[in-house]
Amino acid sequence: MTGGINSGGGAGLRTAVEGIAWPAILPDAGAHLLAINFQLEDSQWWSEETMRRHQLRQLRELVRFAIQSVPYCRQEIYRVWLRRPDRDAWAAFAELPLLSRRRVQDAGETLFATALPAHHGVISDGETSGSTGIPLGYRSSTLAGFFWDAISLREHFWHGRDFSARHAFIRNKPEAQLGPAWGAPSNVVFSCGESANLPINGSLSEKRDWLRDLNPRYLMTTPSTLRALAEIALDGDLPLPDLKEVRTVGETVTPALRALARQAWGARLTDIYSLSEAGMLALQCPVTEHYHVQSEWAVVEVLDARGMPCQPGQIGRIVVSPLHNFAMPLLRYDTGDYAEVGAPCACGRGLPSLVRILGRRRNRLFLPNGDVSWPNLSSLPWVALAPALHRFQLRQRRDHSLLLRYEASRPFTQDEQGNVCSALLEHLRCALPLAVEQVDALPPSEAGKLEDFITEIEDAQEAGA
Amino acid sequence: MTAANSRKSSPDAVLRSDIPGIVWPAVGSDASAHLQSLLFQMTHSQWLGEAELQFRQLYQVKQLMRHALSTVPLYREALSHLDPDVLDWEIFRALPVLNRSELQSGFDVLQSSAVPPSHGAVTEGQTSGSTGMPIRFLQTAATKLFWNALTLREHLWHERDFSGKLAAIRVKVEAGHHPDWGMPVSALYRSGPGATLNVRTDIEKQLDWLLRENPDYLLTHASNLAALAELTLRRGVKLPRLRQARSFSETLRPGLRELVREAWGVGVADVYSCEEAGHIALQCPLHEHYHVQTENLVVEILDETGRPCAPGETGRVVLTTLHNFAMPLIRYEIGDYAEVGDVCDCGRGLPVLQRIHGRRRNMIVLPDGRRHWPSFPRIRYTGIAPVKQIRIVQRSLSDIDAIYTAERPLTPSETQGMVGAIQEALGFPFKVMLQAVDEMPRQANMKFEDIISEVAVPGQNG
Repeated sequence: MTGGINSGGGAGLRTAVEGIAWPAILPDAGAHLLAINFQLEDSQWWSEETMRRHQLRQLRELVRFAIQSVPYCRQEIYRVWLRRPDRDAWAAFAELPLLSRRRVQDAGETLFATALPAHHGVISDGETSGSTGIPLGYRSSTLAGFFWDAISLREHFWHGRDFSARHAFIRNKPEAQLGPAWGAPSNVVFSCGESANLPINGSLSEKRDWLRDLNPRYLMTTPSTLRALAEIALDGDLPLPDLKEVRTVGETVTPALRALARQAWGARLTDIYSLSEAGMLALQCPVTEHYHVQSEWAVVEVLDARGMPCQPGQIGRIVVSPLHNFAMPLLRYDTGDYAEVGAPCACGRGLPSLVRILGRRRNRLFLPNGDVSWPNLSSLPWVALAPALHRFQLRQRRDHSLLLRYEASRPFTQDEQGNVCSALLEHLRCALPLAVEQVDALPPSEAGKLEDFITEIEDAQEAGA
Repeated sequence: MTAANSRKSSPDAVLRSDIPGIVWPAVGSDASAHLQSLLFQMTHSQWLGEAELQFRQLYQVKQLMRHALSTVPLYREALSHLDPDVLDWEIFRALPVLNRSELQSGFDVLQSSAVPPSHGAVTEGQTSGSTGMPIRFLQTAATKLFWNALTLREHLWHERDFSGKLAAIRVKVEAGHHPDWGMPVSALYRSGPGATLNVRTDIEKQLDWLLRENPDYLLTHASNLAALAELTLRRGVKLPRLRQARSFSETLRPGLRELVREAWGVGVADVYSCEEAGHIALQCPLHEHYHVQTENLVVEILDETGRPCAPGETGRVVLTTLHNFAMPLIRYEIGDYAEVGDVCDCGRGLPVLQRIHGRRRNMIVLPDGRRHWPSFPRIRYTGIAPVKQIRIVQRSLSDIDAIYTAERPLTPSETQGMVGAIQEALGFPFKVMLQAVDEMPRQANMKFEDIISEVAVPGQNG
């Protein structure tokens, strides 16, 4: 049986008209979500030039509004940009200042619109965990949430999911009961199959038992939780015979983790790159393992250290301008994340490619000689090195030294600890001091994320931005 | 589905947005959203295979059957033995066929006594019957939504540039100019202007009007299109901006596409539809044959024994509308004939009709009882005589009347030549009487059939 919009043999769509099941006449909210997807269906194949032409139309609307209604944006630079003709608008846009996290934090409520245009709905406030411990407050409109939902549906469609199947979520949500359906936006459009949610902060054994009973077709969680579960499965303790796909969000995914999921359950891994404050920014390609920028929702730039656009193969920081969130227009917001730019994708989509998302600035390792890298710790043979290990986190302290903290069913033996340290330092290609400490529970971030590697060193760019 | 064949509309088509500050992607009205929602579903369903499409169709047929059996008197009585839950295609194909005369006389017993309110307003319509016997039917807001969605699908399949100008010469319109193409295009897109003219207008005046309007697209009845193209060639005029001619409501006679190309250098996109059942088949974007609109109705092509025709065979067109809950038409024999086509190499799984032959009354009956649809396109007589238009009427198994208009009276040798050409086209040495008229009479519905047989043939008359 096919998935996606043809899910459930065509009988899976919700209908607002009694007796009309195929094609379905959906309730208004569902129809609007499919209407956006109807447009996205076309635009995903557009050339870069066509995409930028349409982006510019929407960007001008956003900036025009921001100048009028957002105190922070009443600066002359934005007014000048708006007067630029189309032919050099993009070059001028690249000269607008970046909005770092620090600057957004400092700007506070001056980045909020004083009022929303008609039909943009109501404002909701949120807060996202900060790398330096300072949370970032953000606002979004109902309409921005609608676009988030539309892109979420696109993600389901791209990956051809069968909405009638059972879906498990282990994430930062309070409910732990069997839900009637997958939740919005899927259940606005489809009569979905069963879903179940488990809070991410429970113990690993609880997650294992819960999943074993549930035996879902799809599982969504964070990469670190996934890795811990996959390692249990490789020990033979978590067979999930129906599992076809694991979906990840919130942390960096590595090729080793993809391989681990395949090895554990024969499941493919599909990752999403989104930020609470900036929406769905990149989705994994349906054909390859890299990501497609969601150009219909945001202008996404990947910039090198000099602020120039990166070329394929280069790594740079991700700077985004969401096009539809009028509650808090973010123009050239420096996300603090890094990505490697990809060449045009073999799938034929014109949406720009990112080969990998490397994580945040705080996930970079700083060596005393000035070298910087993103450690990929999941590629280490953890099960062989320390069979009792559940989860770990490596921290780099301000003095450059390292601290490995881990959860495990028992402390490492002396041999295990020695092997782990050797393997880690060899992998990191450094000889920094390394301490090891067992803990009862590693603290996840507010968003329920657990990052493999975090540095406490702030680099000059972040501090000075 | 590949990148290339999933594209639907020009990237320059501008969708209407109803939300201040949001221009792209557009958030339109609820009406626009429902049309796009159906188009999105059909964008995907068109590529499904035969089995997948039939699975979905049967699911919808069951919904219709449940409703028809409980609320439509004719079906409650005639199909009382039927259990919709166990319906399969074999059982479906054994259900009785509803012919045109039964539909004409059965208006009351075919109406649902309880149309669910969610189907919207119920309205009555009437076909412009070519035989003077119109059909009354009911529609709902839901069936109109499907009509509009399929109209848009047809535009998108043929990748029309909505910024161009559309000229429509048809029935049920007044002469006028419009700011856009009208519904349903205007519900979704910003479009260029539209202009309309009633098809009853004298053909010379029609062409003058077209020359003044100089449109990008021309929509008209197939026979009117032929007359306009012929007149264009005779007058040696041009429609320099025309990109495509669109025809509907009548059978596309052989030779028409060539004629239009000769006159204006453009192709023809034809639609096979009827007022009582909606869009039946649309011309493939890549070929001249048609794709059945499986999401809208079940289309069966049946041979004389009632069995489904195989590719290459011609049979009766029998329709089941999937969404009309005010007046369900279950296995309705519309009276047209069509030839079944092979699977299309465009990749769409929607079944193929190679050609639509038109009605039984357009079939010539040979003295030995065999029947066929002859064609007598202009190209077969332009070199013989200065005939402008001709209609062939079979009066009996031996006699043919040929009514024609010409630039001047024909000479005896021209007359002789025309008789020979007609006999050759009809496939038998009938006794042919040529009769000149000043103006070709139109049928009541403003359609034009160039070959009509008055010979009674077995079976029901279309």
